[in-house]
Amino acid sequence: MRQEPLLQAKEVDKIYPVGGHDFYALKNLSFTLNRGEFAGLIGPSGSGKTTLLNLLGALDTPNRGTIELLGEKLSHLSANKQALFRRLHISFIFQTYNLLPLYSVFENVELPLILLKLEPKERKKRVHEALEWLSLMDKAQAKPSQLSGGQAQRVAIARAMVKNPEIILADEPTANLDSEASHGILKTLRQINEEKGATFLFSTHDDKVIGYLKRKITLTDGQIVHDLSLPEPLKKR
Amino acid sequence: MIRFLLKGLLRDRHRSLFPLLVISLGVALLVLFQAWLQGALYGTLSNQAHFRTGHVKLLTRGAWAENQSSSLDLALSQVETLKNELATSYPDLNFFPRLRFGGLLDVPDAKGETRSQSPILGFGLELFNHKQEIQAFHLQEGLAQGRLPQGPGEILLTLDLAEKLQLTLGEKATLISNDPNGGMVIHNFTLVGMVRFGIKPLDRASLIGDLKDLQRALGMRKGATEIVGFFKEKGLNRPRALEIKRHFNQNHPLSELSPQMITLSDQDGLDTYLDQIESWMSWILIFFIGLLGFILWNLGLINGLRRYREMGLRLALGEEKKQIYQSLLLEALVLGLVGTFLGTSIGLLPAYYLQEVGLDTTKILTGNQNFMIQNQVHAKIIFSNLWVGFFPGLFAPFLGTLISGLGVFRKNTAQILNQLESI
Repeated sequence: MRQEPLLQAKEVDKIYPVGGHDFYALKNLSFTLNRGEFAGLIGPSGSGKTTLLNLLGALDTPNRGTIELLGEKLSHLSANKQALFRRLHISFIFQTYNLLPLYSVFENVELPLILLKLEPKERKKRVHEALEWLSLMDKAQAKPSQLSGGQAQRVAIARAMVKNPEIILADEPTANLDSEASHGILKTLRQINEEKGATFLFSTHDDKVIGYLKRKITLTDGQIVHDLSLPEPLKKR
Repeated sequence: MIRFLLKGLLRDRHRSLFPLLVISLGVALLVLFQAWLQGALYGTLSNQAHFRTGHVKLLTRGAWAENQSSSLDLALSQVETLKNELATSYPDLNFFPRLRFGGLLDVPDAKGETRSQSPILGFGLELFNHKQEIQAFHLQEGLAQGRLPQGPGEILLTLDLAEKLQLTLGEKATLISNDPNGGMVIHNFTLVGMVRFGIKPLDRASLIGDLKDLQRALGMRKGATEIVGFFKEKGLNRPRALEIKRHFNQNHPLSELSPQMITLSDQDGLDTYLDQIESWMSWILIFFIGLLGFILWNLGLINGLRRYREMGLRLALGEEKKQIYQSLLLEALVLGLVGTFLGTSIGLLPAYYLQEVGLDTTKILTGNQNFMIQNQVHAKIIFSNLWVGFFPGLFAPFLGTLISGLGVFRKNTAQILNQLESI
């Protein structure tokens, strides 16, 4: 299969001033993520995983270097254009789900489509598809407070996939889940990757997540120290 | 998106019901407070003007020098001529001569012996041909028993005085007083009505009769102790009153019995009182608006801050900072408008009740009062009641949101998102 580059980071530095000194959260970091990958940024706390995820998600800009998504240099875009880019092409899955507590499951999943200004009929169709895919149709009218952790994270996944983004960035998506729920979520994410061709990039230090990854990019002190792609699909658990 | 946000607003009581209650309650209190102050302070002043000082007043220099003595030897003479002169020179005012005098009222028994007796404060007013004086003294509204005098020899007494004298309607009483030359005057009158002013200094012992009737009784056919003038429109006009005073006094001699014009401000320390009213009104309102504004500003501020989670998520989903900021402001604007309209309406209801019915202050105000403070103090609804609530009700939460929402712009998106993870 031909590998099509989706995202490229070139010689990226991210510096934070700490106690009057410059702290390099990321140093001269380069890598490419291809369309359809199921990859993870692995490393201990403070290794720069979340910083890199923020840069790739157009939430922050590097001090040096460039990040290209779909051939567009994200750091050269205005804040509004970055927002538009996120709206159209990028989805996030958070450790703490971040569902809006006042809105139903249906409304939470619908929100990205409202921002895309889709017609109500089209929104309803897409939300139903996403909820059915994640076996959440019976919870469509439930509020987030009525859901278990696993169910809430599945709603967050539905919200992430409903707009068919180019890439889904997942920051420690199983950190708040028990083992059984974590495996359930990870299987679902792999299924989305394999059946819908969605590209995933995780930030994690959880062995459960690492076990499901097709590519492992190990970060230490803001630099990539290993980049390992697994040629064969993982055995089913 | 607006529909989506509106759903959230309606569902979140902390965002809608609670701020709405605080805004409405604050605005309602402000409106009520302003109407009450307006009624209480200016009502007292209005009473003072109607019963005692006029907006301007003409009296002899001697009487003014004697601290507005109601001694008849210092009364004005040729009152009709003076009144015509005033009406011609100052057509923006109505002028009414009044006779203010002291004396004794004696009630005889069947044998002609004194049954009861009391000192009185007498008022001779133009009752027969001028409804304005009846209105100024609220005689019709204050009539507790009987009727108003309709012919010579008929008088009104205050209810308290009549009860004290054990005098009933239709009974005769004898006025014992002095004429302008110091001679004793004795004249019989028939009690035809009893009034209650609701003002302690007047209710104690007032006698009211027709001016001409009392002029005849007191032997001063063309005399009056004063001529009071009232602006025909919009109440007291302090600069114009001062102008009239200066103009009149420049054109009249300086002898003891020559007329002198004074204004409401010159009497009973009312100049200070007027200044104080205006100053108090301004400061109290500024304080109240400031306090309410501070509370509501903080409400807007807190409301903005506690929604960082939602803002972070919306940013991550691709909404622009500007759009989020605008939606926050729109929300604050809607809440402020609804709350202010609601608060103004709620505040006007008790204000209207207090305007129509009033509040009995007899138990609050005790002792001798120099001012004509009505026992029943009324609020007064004025035009500014309709918009005063908008300062704190609309602008304060809007400003609070404006400032708290700036955090969305100051922080970069990743920072807000990291906060979102840590909440």
